[in-house]
Parts: sequence; structure tokens; C-alpha cells
Amino acid sequence: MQQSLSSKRLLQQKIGFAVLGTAAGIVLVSVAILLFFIVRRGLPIMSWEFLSQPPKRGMTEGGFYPALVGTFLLGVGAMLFSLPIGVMTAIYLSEFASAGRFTKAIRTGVNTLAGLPSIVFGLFGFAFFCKVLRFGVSVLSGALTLGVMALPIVIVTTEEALRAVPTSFREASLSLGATRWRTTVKVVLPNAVSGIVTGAILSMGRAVGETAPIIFTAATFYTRRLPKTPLDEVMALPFHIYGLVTEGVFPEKQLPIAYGSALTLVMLVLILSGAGIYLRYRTRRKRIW
Amino acid sequence: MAKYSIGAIASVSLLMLLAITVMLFANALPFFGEYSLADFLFGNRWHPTQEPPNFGLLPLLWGSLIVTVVAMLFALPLGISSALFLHGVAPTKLREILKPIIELLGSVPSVVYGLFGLTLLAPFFQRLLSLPVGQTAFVAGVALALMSLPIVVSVAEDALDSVPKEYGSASLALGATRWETLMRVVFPSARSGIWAAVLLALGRTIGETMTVLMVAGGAAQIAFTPFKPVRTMTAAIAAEMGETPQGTLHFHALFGVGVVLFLLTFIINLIANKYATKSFK
Amino acid sequence: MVEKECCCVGSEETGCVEAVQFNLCYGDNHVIKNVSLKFPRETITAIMGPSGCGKSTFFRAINRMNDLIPSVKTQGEILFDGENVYSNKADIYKLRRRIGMVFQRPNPFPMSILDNVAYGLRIHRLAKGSELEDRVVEAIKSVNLWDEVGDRLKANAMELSGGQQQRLCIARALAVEPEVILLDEPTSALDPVSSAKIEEQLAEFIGKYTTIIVTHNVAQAARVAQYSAFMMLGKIIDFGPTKEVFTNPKNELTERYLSGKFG
Ligand SMILES: Nc1ncnc2c1ncn2[C@@H]1O[C@H](COP(=O)(O)OP(=O)(O)OP(=O)(O)O)[C@@H](O)[C@H]1O
Ligand SMILES: [Mg+2]
Repeated sequence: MQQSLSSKRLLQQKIGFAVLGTAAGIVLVSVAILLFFIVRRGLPIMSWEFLSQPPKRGMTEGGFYPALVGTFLLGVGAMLFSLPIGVMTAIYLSEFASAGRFTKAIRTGVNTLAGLPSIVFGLFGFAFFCKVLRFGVSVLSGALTLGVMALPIVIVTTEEALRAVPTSFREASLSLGATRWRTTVKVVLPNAVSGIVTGAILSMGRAVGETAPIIFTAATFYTRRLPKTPLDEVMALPFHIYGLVTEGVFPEKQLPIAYGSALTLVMLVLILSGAGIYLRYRTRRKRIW
Repeated sequence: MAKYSIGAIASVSLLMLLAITVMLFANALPFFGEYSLADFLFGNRWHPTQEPPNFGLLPLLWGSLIVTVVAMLFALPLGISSALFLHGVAPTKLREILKPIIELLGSVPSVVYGLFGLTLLAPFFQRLLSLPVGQTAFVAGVALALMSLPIVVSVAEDALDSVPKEYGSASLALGATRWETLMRVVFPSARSGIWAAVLLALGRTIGETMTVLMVAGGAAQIAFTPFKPVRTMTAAIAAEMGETPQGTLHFHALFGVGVVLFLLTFIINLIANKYATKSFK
Repeated sequence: MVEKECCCVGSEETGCVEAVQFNLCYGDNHVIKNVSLKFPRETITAIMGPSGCGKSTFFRAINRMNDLIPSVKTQGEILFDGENVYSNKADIYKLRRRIGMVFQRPNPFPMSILDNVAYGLRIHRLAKGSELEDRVVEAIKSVNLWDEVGDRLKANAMELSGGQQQRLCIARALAVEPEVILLDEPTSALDPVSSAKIEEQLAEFIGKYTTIIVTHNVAQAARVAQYSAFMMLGKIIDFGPTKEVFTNPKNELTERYLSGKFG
């Protein structure tokens, strides 16, 4: 009797596991289909010319070089803003903050920023950077908007890295008479470098792929020239893709270009985030202390 | 003092949040000076270019809602089941490979999901269900589900992982099978973390722009079926902002929509963070 | 005296645990070495020994909780009521119902007190409805927890004190009517008063359950256990009635352990 109850329960387990496995399978397969199509449709158009030439003939031919450059500028610009401020904020939260109202407010602020929709950042960037600060539709406005958006990623990742440095390291330094700041710079930061790099890479990966924040702040559909100053507008890969499929007049010629751009964008983002995630896992696992 | 100068820099995020709030409200204010709040919140027509214009939020709210519901109907069961699979069924090796891959997929840009939805999912479902149009709330929901799956899976798996191993041991030692342990002990114990995953995905989905802009069809209408085109709040802002001269009522109305979006996601995330911090230390 | 307690295959008596030339390795680490030991029925046996000698491992071998660790390999037999628990026919779910286990740190589930105790009854479908509740109440009463929690069975078990939680865990194990109870340092995470309550509890096990307790507390072993075993580097080096072992250890190492020279 009991034996049969156990086998009943084991059968139930088998069915349950099969259901869960099917769900996981569906998820993996759909993701695989997505990637497969991007690669299959994007790969044939990939060429040196595609990467290195500006678009031609109303974007039905040629490449997307300006968009690539624009995306690079926006990504780096965003990181230049978010990295120093983000790292400093993380240092404050992990090394200096007392459990007071101010700290709590900062944490809530960071959490809220992390959850805001990207289009809201777009509205803000347009109203603030383009209008109030008079940067206009430009690389600068776009990079700052993306930088604000990426701030929480840098803060959270860096703080995780700082907190992972054992307290004993700090105590050792402090007991030798070093100030908190010196301790942070000399002892804590060097031990958290890979965490900070992870944050920088992840935030850049995020900034590079976003479209909504740059629609009104930085991007233009079509330009043959590269920006000369930070106050020029640029093409950007994600916006380029959007433009090609929604405003294109010759879909049969522009769709392949869109897929080529999408493939490039996906590769760019996956490489950046892949590096970031790899570093994070490695530092989490290989702690020598 | 180092503490105060660093504290000053640390407050930049807070200042930015403040600036976002101020900018949104300041630019929405002129709209509410001319258009009644009640007509905005409860109006069921969004016709910004008509004479006289209608700025009823309901069609956009409806669009966001129906797309989100469809997305969650797919993403939550699939995502949570996958997290349970990774945590309780998959061998450790497989989990260690799949977990980072799933996290990685979370970084695929939304415009790519939009492209995929527009050129493949929309025609596919149009033919499959013989619909008059391809770009519908349903297809947008499916594309968004695909996009939010990585968040659901990885946050839910983190939540399951944070359940103390002792609970599992206690259950197994009482003679429970691994399935019973997973479903009756580990899963309920991870409740609050799983709620956090659900809410995070919800917030992301409501706030997602590019995918819906490209796939949902863009018609601001209240249709009680997901197989019609809709326009979400985010898509309205993204699509109409560029075509609207600054300073017009329409321009400010879009900031009004932005305020609604801001408040909605703010509340969802507040609750999500409550849940996230409630799980095991 | 030991022999009298034995039970053989086919007898009506239950709750017999016996290791026969049992070995266990974690990968290359040979942790349990050729242990042969017959636990006397329905009495309390204490297992003592220095940290890392394999006591917990031996425990987990008895109810096959080691199955979950992939690197584990076993050799030899552990007989429960005459049947090898490692045989292919063994039903580990039933086995684990009949061999209850209490852990070092109290580990109630984060659910209500009632659901905690009812858990085993539910999964093994031993009772439902009012019978289920009766058996839960009975189990809670049997660990003398009723006076403390009887009026709040719906409260979350995590709200209880450490000692109460541990007694709840014992009640949870007792609810499914096991024949053997394994307790791995059940009081080491508790204060003296809570420990004393658990010891009182153990006294009531005699004559009902074959009880095996791992403890680092020699005085505790002397107080509660009729039999004592000493383990050292994966081997049982001494075993017998507690009084004999304590007053007249066969092994010199046992003597040194008891006098606090190491361990
Ligand atoms: N899961 C495991 N994987 C590999 N080795 C293990 C594992 N658990 C225990 N060991 C090893 O087995 C040996 C015995 O461990 P065990 O936990 O059984 O000791 P113990 O006698 O219970 O010690 P303590 O008194 O400290 O609880 C130790 O050397 C330990 O390193
Ligand atoms: Mg132990």
C-alpha cells in the first residue's frame, strides 16, 4: 500500500518536473528563434562596406557607419557621466553612510530611478538638457539622459563589490591611523576594481541599446556626416533600426539593412553585457579571502 | 570633510529624480490649466489633432493595460515555471550555464524585439488567427512577454535561491519528494521575492516603449479584444512628441501622460522593493 | 545486556537500526570506515566524538539524506527492520517517514505552526480534516508545547523562540509516527533552559522510539542516554551502556575524550 503511495507521488513528481521542463523549453526555444532570425537575416548583409560606409540613396543602400559612431559616442558619453557619480554614490552608501534619513532617501531615489520607464527619461532629457540647459538635440543631451538612466546600474553593481570587501581589511587600515577616505582609496577600492569595471560595462551596454531616451534628445534619422561637436545631433543604431522599419519607403531594401543593424546592435550589447556578467560571476565566485 | 563632499555627489541621483519630477510636472501644468483633469483622466477619446482636440487618457491607459495583461499572461507562468525548473529540477551544471545566459538575454535591446515582432510575429499571428491586421495588442504582448521573461526568470530564481537550504532538508527528511519540497516549501517560502519579480516585470512592461510603438498598431481605441491595434501611453509619447510643436496643448498633454506613467511605475516599484527587501536577509 | 535488545529479520518488533560494515566516501574522502553497530530498540543511544569525525554523515546515511550529495558513495549495509535501506527496492520516502530527523538548528518552515506539524501528515496522506487537526494537537501536546502555542496555531512558526521552534520541529517529526528518531546536536543552538526542556522530552521517548542523539555535551549524554557510542575518524571505537562506557571505557581515546583532553 505504502509502496504504491510512494510511486504515485513519484509519478506526480515526474509529471510536475515535465511541466516545468516544458515551460523552460518553450522559453529557450522562443529565445533561440529570436536570435536565429536576427542572425539569419542580418548576417548576409554584413560586410566591411556595411560597417564603414554612410547610408546612401535614402537609406536603401550603403552602411550605417555614422550610426555606429553615434552609438559609440552616446554609450561612452553616458558612461563618463554615470561612472564617476555612480562610484562616488556607491562609496558613500557603503563606506560613509550612517543609517539615517539621507541615506534612506538616496536609496529610495536610486531604486526609483532604476524603475522609471525609458520614455520618461526621454521626456526629462528633452525638457531639461535640450531646453532648460539649451544643449539642443545633441550628443551631449542624449549622453546625459542615458547617463542618468544608467546611474542606478553603476551604483548597485559598485556597492555590491565594495560590500564584498571584508570589514577586517578596513579595520586593519583604520587601526593604523588612516582616515576613512584614505582607507577607501588605498584598501577598499583596489579590491573592488573588477566590480566597478562590471558596473561601467553593464551601464554602457544598457545605454547603447536604448532608443526611447534618445528619440527627442539626440538622434536623427539621417545624416551623412559625423558630429563635429558635442552639440551636434547624431545617428544611433537603435533609432536607425526603428526608422528603417517604420518610416522606410522601400521596405524590401531597407528591411535587410534593419536586420543587419539589429544584428550589430545585439552583438554589441551581448558582448558588453556578457563581459560584465562574466566578470560579476567571476568575482562572486573567486574570492581569495 | 570627505564624508560631506562625497555625500554631496551621492545626492546627485536624488537631485536627478527631483529634476525629473519637476520637469514632468512643470511641463504638464500648462495642460491642466486649459484642459480639465477629469476630462483627461476619464475621457474615452484621444484625438489630439482634431478641432477641438480630445485628450482623454482612457484609450491609452487601456492600451497599456491590455498589452501588459497579455504579456504577463505569457511571461509569468512561463517565467516562474522556468525559474522553478532551473532551481529545483535542472542539474547544477545546467543551471550554472543557463542562469548567466538568461541574464544576458535580458540586455537585448527592446528595439530588436520590436523588429522581430513587427516583421515576424505580426504576420505569423495574422495568418494563424486570420486577423484583418497584424499589428495588435496581442502581438505586442507576446513580444513584451519574450522581453520580460529574462527578468522574471532571473529574479524569481534569485528568490528561490535565497530560501535557506534547511527548509528543503527538513522537508526531505520528513519523506517529501523533491517535487513536494519544491512546490510546498521552497516556492511558498520565496513568495515575497517572487512577487518582487512579478512587479518588476510589470513595471518594465508598462513602461516599455519601442516594442509597443513598433508592434501594437498605434490606434488609440478602447477595444475589448486583444486582437485589435492599440496605442499605449508610452507609444503615444514617443510617436507624437516629435510631430508636435512645442508649447502647444498637445505637447503639454504628452507630459501629462508622462506624469501618469511616472506615478504608475513609481508606485509599482515602491511595492516591488518592499517585497524584495522582505525576503530572507 | 546488549543482545537482549536485538531484533531479527521477520520478528514483529520494529525500529531496529543496524549498520553492517558500512563505509561512506565523499569523492576520495573516506569518512565512515567499516562501521558495524546495532542500535538498541526503543532506548536512547548517544553518539559522541570530535568534530568532523563523521557523526552527521553517519546520521544522514541512515535515512539516506546523503543521496542528495552527488559525490557520495556507500558500501556495506544499513539495515532497518532487517532490510537494507540501500537496496534498490527500498522506498526512501517511506523510510524517511519512519525515521524522523531533528537538526542542529531549529528549521521550522516559514508557515503556521499548524501547517508545520501537518506537513508530514499531508504529504504522506495520513490524515485529513478533523483527524488531521487532532493529530497535530496530539503531536504538539506530546512535546509539551501546547500550553505555549495552543491558542495560536495559525501564527507563523518563525515567531516562536528558538527552544519552542526546536520542540515544534520534534513535534513535526513525531506527527508522522516514526519508529526511529535521529537528533543531530538538537540542543547546541539553544539556551540551558530550552535544552533542559528538550532533555525532559527525550526521557519520554524511551520505550516508544529508537532514539539516536549526537551530542558534544558529555554530561547531556550521561543524563539522557542508556547507551553511548564513541566515534573517531569515521570509526566506532567504543559502544555500550552509558554507565559502562563512562566509568570503564574500553578504548584509551574514549577516556581522553571524556576527560576533556581533546574534542
Ligand atoms: N557535503 C559534503 N561534501 C564533502 N565532504 C563532506 C560533506 N559533509 C561533510 N563532509 C566531510 O565529512 C567529514 C565528516 O563530517 P561530518 O559533518 O559528518 O562531521 P561531524 O562529526 O558531524 O562533525 P561536527 O561535530 O562538527 O558536526 C568532514 O571531514 C567533512 O569535511
Ligand atoms: Mg555534525
